[in-house]
Amino acid sequence: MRVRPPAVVAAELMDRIRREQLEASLASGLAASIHLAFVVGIVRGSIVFVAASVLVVALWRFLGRFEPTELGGLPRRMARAVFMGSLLSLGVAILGVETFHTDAGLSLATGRSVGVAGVVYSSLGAVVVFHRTRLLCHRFDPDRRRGDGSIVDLERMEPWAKSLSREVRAVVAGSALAVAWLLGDGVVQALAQGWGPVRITAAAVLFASGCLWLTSLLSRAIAAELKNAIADLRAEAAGVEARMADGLTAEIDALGAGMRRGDELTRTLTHERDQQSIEYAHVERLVRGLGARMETSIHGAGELVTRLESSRRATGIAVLGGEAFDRHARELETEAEASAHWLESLERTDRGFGASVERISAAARETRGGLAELAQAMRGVDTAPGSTTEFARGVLAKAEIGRAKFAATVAGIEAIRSATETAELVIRGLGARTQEIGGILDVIDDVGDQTSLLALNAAIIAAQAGEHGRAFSVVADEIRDLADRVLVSTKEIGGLIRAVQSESERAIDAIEAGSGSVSMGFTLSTEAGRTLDEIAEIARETGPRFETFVASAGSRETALQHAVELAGNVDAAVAELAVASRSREGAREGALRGVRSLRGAAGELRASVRAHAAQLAHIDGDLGAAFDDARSIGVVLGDQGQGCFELARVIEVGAERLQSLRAVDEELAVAQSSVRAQVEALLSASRPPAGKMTSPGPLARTTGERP
Amino acid sequence: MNESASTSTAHVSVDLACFELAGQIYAVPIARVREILTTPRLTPLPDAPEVIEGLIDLRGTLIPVVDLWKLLVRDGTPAGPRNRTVVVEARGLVVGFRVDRATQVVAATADAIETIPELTREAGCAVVGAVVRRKDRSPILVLELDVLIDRVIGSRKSAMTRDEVAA
Repeated sequence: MRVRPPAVVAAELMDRIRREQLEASLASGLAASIHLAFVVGIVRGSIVFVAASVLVVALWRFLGRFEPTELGGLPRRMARAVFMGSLLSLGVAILGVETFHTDAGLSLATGRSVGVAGVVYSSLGAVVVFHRTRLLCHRFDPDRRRGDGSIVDLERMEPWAKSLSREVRAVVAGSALAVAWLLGDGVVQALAQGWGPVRITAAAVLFASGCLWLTSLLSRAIAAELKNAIADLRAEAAGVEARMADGLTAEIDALGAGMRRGDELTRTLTHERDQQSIEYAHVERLVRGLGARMETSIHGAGELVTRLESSRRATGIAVLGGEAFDRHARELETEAEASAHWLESLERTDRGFGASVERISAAARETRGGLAELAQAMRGVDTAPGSTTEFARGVLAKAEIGRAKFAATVAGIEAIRSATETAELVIRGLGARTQEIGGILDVIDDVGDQTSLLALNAAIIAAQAGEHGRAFSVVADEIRDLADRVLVSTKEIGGLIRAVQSESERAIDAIEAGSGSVSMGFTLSTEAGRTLDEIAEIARETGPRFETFVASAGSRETALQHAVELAGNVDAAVAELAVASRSREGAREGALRGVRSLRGAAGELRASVRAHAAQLAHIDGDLGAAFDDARSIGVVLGDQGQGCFELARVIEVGAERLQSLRAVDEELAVAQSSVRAQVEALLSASRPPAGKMTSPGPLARTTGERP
Repeated sequence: MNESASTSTAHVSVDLACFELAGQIYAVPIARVREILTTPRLTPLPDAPEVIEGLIDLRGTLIPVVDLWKLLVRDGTPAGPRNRTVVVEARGLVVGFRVDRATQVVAATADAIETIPELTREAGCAVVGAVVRRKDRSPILVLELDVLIDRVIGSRKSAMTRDEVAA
């Protein structure tokens, strides 16, 4: 569909208008010449006409207004027009002159010539119309028009057809006027000639019918031409329409379909782009969220690592504490062992001591009995002095025995005292140790507490870390579990320690009580021994100086009384000692029991401590593993975070590209819509002319008026 | 573990950090817990409301510590040892709550979580958002941290109005 440039079309149009003007002026000139020819005579008029024609054409050609080639068949057509016009005018003139020839004046001749000129002019107008019609038809010759802008031509045809129609109307009006004038003139002439009405009517009818016949001839020729042209145009229009239907419509349809497809594609593309961009945004958001989570996770992992480190340090301290604790427990055990040993030996000593106390008691009793006997005897010495020496000897011997026994007693008590002191020392040491153990237990408790807290925090971090923390949360739970177990076992140990402490205190109390008794027994024994020594001394002295002894019966009596008293005292002391010994035995039993349970407790403690240490070691190991895990989690999270950020960057770049693609899409859509608008304009421009050609146009109406 | 325990009931399970206060087990969503501390030395603030015990310096961040016993229990049972501080985030703020003992992390399933009855909520008891049932043990009360924060913010105001009424 090639549209010629408007300038070319305008130039062509101007050319045609000029040509038509030329033709019109030529025709007018010819008409004037013919008129002249009628006035001066037919032969002379014909000569003037031919000369004038040749002159005008030569002048036009000399002026170079148009090319002969361009004019095509114009001279021939012109000649034909001139010939036909001349013929017609000649015929009318002859008819007029022959019919109405009279000796009328000059005025009548002038009037006649005016009527003839009117007829000629209208005839010439008819010729011009005829010619223009032919030209018009020729313009729409399909062979000539091939390759031209048919729609432009078709559009242009309408104003031409309108002007043609105006011209035809003018020609018809002119012709009618001329004929009417001639008819009127003829009637006036006939009346002047004195024709009867019948003759005048016959002549008028003849004239009118001749005119009508001529006019109908011309009209028929024009109508035939127009009919042909219209047929051509119809065929052409049908062809154009068919072409439009076949080619243009198909083309337009294809274009429309293509555009629709393009639209659809664009829509799909835009939709996909939108979808893509939404997805991008979603992914970006996800990745950003992931990145943020990762960051949190990384942060959490870092914190976790820090916490785990401190936890590990705490566990290390706990392990160290456990070791110290173990050491202490071992010492405790050893000491408990030693205490038990001591106590056992004490028991053994005590048993011997008890026996010796018994013996001492018996001896003291014997001594007292002996002394009583002695005193009795001594009292009887006065009555029977002969046996005094013997008695004195017996007293001495008995006193010696008593003294020896007392010495043994004192030694035994001494041993007991020292053993008691040792035991007290040991048990006091035990008390101190248990205090220390209590301190260590506090440390362990604290460490366990801290570990528990750390484990709880680790669990919290693990829960916050989400999927990555899942594995770690198990470790954290285990650590917490272990910490709880440690706390439980620490509590158990604390209970044991407290039990040991109270037992130790009880043992110490008992030992202290026993020790008081022992001291008292020792003092009394020592005193008793001294008294016995005195008695022995007195008895020894009594032997050589019996006389003195007898003589000093009073003092002897007094001494004896004293001895008996002392012996009684000793007896009481010994009895007391026995009681003390028994109470001490009870205390010792208590202490022994305490120490035994202490030993058991120490054993348990050690076992506990060992279990604790093992648990701590386990915790330590777990913590180490967790630590490594956390660190590797941190590293992995770091990598993932890095990946996330890279991904986010990539997505950003993608989003940017998408944005530019969308901009391109939008431009495409705009271009498409403008193309669509153009095509629609084209469609609306091409369809109406096609529609007009099928319906009867101005041309058809024009031809319809003519016959 | 979302904004509040009531919305979290829609999820399959929610991790709760549990702690003990005056013999009762309370819990907060673990997502809101920053960490749990052994209550450090507090710097008391002059002219602070009664519930705010003081400030602690947690690795360079100053955090107000609220005595949860004074906020929740107030009377009846005597105050426990409160040697743990649960550091939480709520309403964009970081605050420490002093509690007796941190117990454990519990993964509570959705069907074990029960929102607090409407009546109690309407009556103004909004600090407990939900309850986690436990077999053979007393239920865990899930605290609404935002409401707690509101209570802390409003504590001075209410104390002032009390004073005014007393005056």
